[in-house]
Amino acid sequence: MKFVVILSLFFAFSFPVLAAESIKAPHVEISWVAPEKWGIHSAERIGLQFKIDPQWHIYWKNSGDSGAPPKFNFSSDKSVVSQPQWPIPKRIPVGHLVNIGYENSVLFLFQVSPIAGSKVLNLKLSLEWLLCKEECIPGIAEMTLTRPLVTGPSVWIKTNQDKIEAFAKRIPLEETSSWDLTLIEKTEEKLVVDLKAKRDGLTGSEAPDMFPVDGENVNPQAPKVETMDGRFRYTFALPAGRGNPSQFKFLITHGDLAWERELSLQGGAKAVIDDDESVGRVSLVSLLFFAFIGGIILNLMPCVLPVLSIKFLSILKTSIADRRKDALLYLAGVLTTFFALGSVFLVLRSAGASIGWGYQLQSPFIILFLILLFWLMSLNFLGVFEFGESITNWAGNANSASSFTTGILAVFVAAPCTGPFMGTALGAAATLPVAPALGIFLSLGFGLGFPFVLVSFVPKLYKLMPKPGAWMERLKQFLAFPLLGTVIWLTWVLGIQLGSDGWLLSSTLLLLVALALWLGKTPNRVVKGLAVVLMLVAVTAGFISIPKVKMLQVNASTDKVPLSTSYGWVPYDRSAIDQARAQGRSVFVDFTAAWCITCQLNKKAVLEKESVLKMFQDNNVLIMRADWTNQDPVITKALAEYNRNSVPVYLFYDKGAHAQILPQILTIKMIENLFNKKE
Amino acid sequence: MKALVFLSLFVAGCIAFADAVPGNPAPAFETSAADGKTHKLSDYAGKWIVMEWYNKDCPYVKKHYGSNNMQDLQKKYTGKGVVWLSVNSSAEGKEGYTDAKEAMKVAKDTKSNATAVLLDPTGVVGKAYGSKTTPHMFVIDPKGTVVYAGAIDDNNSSDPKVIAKSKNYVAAALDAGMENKKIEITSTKPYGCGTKYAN
Repeated sequence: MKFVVILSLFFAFSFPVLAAESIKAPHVEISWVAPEKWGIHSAERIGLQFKIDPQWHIYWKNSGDSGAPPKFNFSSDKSVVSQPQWPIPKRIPVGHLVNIGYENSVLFLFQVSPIAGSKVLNLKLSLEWLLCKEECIPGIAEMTLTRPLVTGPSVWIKTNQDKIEAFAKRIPLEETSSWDLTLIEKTEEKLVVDLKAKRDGLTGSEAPDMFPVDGENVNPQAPKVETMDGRFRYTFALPAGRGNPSQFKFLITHGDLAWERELSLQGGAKAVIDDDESVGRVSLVSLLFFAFIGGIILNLMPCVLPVLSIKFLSILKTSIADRRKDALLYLAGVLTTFFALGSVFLVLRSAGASIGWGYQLQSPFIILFLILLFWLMSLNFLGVFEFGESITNWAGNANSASSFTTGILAVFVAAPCTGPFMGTALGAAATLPVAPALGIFLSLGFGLGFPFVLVSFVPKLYKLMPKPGAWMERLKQFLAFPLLGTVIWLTWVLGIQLGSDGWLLSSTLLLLVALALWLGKTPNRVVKGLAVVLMLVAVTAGFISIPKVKMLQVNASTDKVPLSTSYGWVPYDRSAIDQARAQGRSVFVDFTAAWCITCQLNKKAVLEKESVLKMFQDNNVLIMRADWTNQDPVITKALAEYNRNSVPVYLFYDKGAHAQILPQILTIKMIENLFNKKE
Repeated sequence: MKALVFLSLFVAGCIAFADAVPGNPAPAFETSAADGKTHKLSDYAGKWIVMEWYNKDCPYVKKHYGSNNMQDLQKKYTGKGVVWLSVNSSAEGKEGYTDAKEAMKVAKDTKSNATAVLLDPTGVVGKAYGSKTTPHMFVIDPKGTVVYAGAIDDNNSSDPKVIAKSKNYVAAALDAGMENKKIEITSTKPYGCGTKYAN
């Protein structure tokens, strides 16, 4: 009985049921912050202030592990009251738990506008709150706010207005142009998201904080934050067994600024996929076979053909034994390079980096190196200089070191060309364990080296080759031109990576290198020495200035996506895809990169042809370009969803729940079929 | 003997380091209760079990005891053969801590219909189950599998008046499970006061 008395006393104490403009309850004072007189036509932002004793706290709309948010229930037929606006909260550790809420003093804000025709503004609020230290005290109260309505503007006390403004700054902003929030991974235990600033000056290097709005599906503990190139990655712990929500909502805070963003999980790209090369149904043996065939086809790709032709020329002159030795060394070079690239790839993968095939070409250093290399090779082929044949040896003459080096070179120049069959194999390599993944890389290498070895070892095939003669010198000179073409193309790639300064940088370097070579031809020793110095300085300066140029470019503009802007193509945006599909539009996504020749060929020959663009337009297709020229984890992740990690990938969502991956070499007919089939 | 109990508690705590997650086996425990006896999970093998985290001074526990909601649930389901265990994980010196004698008195005063009130001042059982709040509810099926973990109902107000309009997750899980039907909601975010473990 005594207990019941105590209990009822307690309830009487902790549930003050009073109708008042301000109330005092244990450890908290609650009062309105509102204008003294209310302008009859004014919509005003008012606040309900909680002044809390030290060590106690109240809660945000997601209270965290325990506790409960305050509940505001307005009843007023003479005015319109908005939902509560919650200022930026903080995480408050309580024992082994994390609460999200406020200490000391907080204002919850409401937009209130009187309804025309009323004379007095009269708000009634049923308020319920929970105040906690380690123990908790709930409270229930009726609060009222009565203000005369006056013609003209509202009358505020300055300090009250300042209070409102101080907290109004701390509620989420309406604008959506500041952040890109993308899903990286969701498992039973964790949710990984990337946050990227859409414009400059939002943050320094300091990561914004993120709070889950929905406490049911995400734990309140501070996420693990990693700072990556131009973005931040957050790993949240998820509570066990809560099923699969279709979306998550987060509060993003930075200093006094806050935004809310939603992250949609369903209706997205996880549609039924038609992919005739789909990995799920392909055994390891056929993957290795695909890799091998893909490697053979690589020999015919425009990037590899010139280098290989020169190698063929060089073996025409040699004996069969030398030929075989050369062929094997070449194969060894190819395999070693594939093994090395594959190992680096797997190490980076295990370190959690989002990379894919061709990753080495995402580095402007490698691009500049290749530009320089091809420039020297073409000048050498044209006879501009001969340094004891040393450069020719790189790709040309029969010599053990050079055959091995040609193998290395062949792999490097092959990277931009993803041929048929390769996409599936390389995509699988991204997800397979180490041994089979390396097996796939090596299979590709065998494929690339195979034709050369075949010709060298089978005398019948070799006899089909033309006889050596003076024509070889002319052909060598001619092959300088495809190489120069490659230089132009790589300069363009560098320009996209570094902006127009990248183009200036590489051209200047090429000019100085050519000048140095020309100077080096004189017999004068001093001038020769100068030439060597000029060469070294130019090359060193060229590579050193890449990071500076890159920084300039990033500062100049972050929205610059030169590949994506033309012909109505929009940059990749996952939420836009979801939105378009929700509206029943079809979506075409072009995963591409400037350094991917196959991609550029498809773009020019098919995707940017007027007839194709018109087809897209007539069928109201959202056309989107995912540009992978530079390292971009969002796009790497998107590719991974389709078991790919190389470009090109062409993805088409029709109006239903159907998605399909098109072949890597496109024709206009294929695009036509996408639409004819439907109607 | 005491050392043995301690050891088994320790082992139980370690084995069950992962929280009691729906679909997983319920963490084993062995602990003393207000009735002076030792209770362990295996004592109740083959029965439906409700574990209710309890703190007599927590306003949210009071919401459900002051309104008789909890006692009514206990009565209804123990009447159907369900074992109902209230667990007090408040550490000594923390809000809601009781020794066995006081626990018996409180149970009597509040007319609790629980099968037993387990005393867990070390927090071993609470942490094994991952109890975060009072009340935090777990339902265990006769095979020893956790089939529900989370809040008692869908209204985190401290006002007892809302109980009539709330959807009770524990009752729903027991009703469906005991009729061999699919339990629709198996995990929710618990609400209430933080469980008062030792610091």
